Amino acid sequence: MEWKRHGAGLVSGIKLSDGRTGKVVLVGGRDNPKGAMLVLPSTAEESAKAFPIAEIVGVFHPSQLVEVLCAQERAFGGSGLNPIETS
Amino acid sequence: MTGTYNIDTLLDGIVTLPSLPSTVNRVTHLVNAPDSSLSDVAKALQTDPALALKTLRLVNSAYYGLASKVISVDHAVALLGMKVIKNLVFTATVFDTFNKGTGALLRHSVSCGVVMRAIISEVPGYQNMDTEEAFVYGLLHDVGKIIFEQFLPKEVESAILLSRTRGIPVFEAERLVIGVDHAELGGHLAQRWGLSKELVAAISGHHNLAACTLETARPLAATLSIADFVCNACAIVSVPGAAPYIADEMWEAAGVPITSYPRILHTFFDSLGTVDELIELQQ
Repeated sequence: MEWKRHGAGLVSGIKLSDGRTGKVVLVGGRDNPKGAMLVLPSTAEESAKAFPIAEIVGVFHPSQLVEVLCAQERAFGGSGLNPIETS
Repeated sequence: MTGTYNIDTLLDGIVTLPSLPSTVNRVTHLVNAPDSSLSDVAKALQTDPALALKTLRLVNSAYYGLASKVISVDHAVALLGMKVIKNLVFTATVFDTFNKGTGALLRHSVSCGVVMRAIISEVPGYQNMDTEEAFVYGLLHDVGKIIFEQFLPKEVESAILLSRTRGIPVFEAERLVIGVDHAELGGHLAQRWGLSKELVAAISGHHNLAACTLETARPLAATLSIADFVCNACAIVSVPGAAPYIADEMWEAAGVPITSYPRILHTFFDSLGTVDELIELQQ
């Protein structure tokens, strides 16, 4: 995943296993339920929606989920991991 | 581009696989023998003061989280039991071996051990494995890299460069440059050390399940690959600049439910302090 800095947060595009595309937005640590969000854009039928990642883990491929959660910890966690690199 | 060696030509004069110290062999033998006692194991361990001391330092580290300080080998063996002691002695020995490798490799390997421990903790009954055994699996998965670094440093450098320029995983670059990858070599070393056939097969297959010749070890090989991927995604890499890579087949082969990954990762993140402590014990 390629992360871009957006204000205090990080954003990366993502293609889900069901073919939908969206963005993952990281704004806080793992203690914040909305620290990692999946944002799906509006379509002809639906308006844009945002979901906390922890509530919809099943829509991700496991490698995406691991990359997202590790990126969140690197960006906002206190465990001393190297900061995430952004493009 | 094809590598210079195959595993037979590599082991025939180019690379010498190190032997396990006799004390470790003795302890392993005693633990596996049905009629040996805790006292036999303690006595065997005491014949190697440096190893006994290192074992005591490990027992008293936060990793084991014991309430009171253990000051004798007899006490350590009685408290932790033979199987844990065997893994602990083994860990101490492997750390010595890793001192011949790079610091990055040691950190990556210990971290993989801690991820493996987190997986076993958070997925009850997974592969009937206990957390100590899981730690040793993670610790040893890249042991072939130490041997490469020791005997073929220029080839390793070329493989890393090739990996970067072509954007391919390091193990694939090793096959192109050397002809053998670190997983295959590590499996041979584990076999020479008389380790379990499951561990040998899991090390051999941790980048390629087809190389895991024991069907029952495939989930463990896949889990090792996942632990490796987690560490790389956390930038705890054995090779600087290595991008996270995992073969897609590993996720299904491991059989870990996707809902378990957040808890596994949280347990791992919370345990990162023990990685530093285990590494400091070796300084």
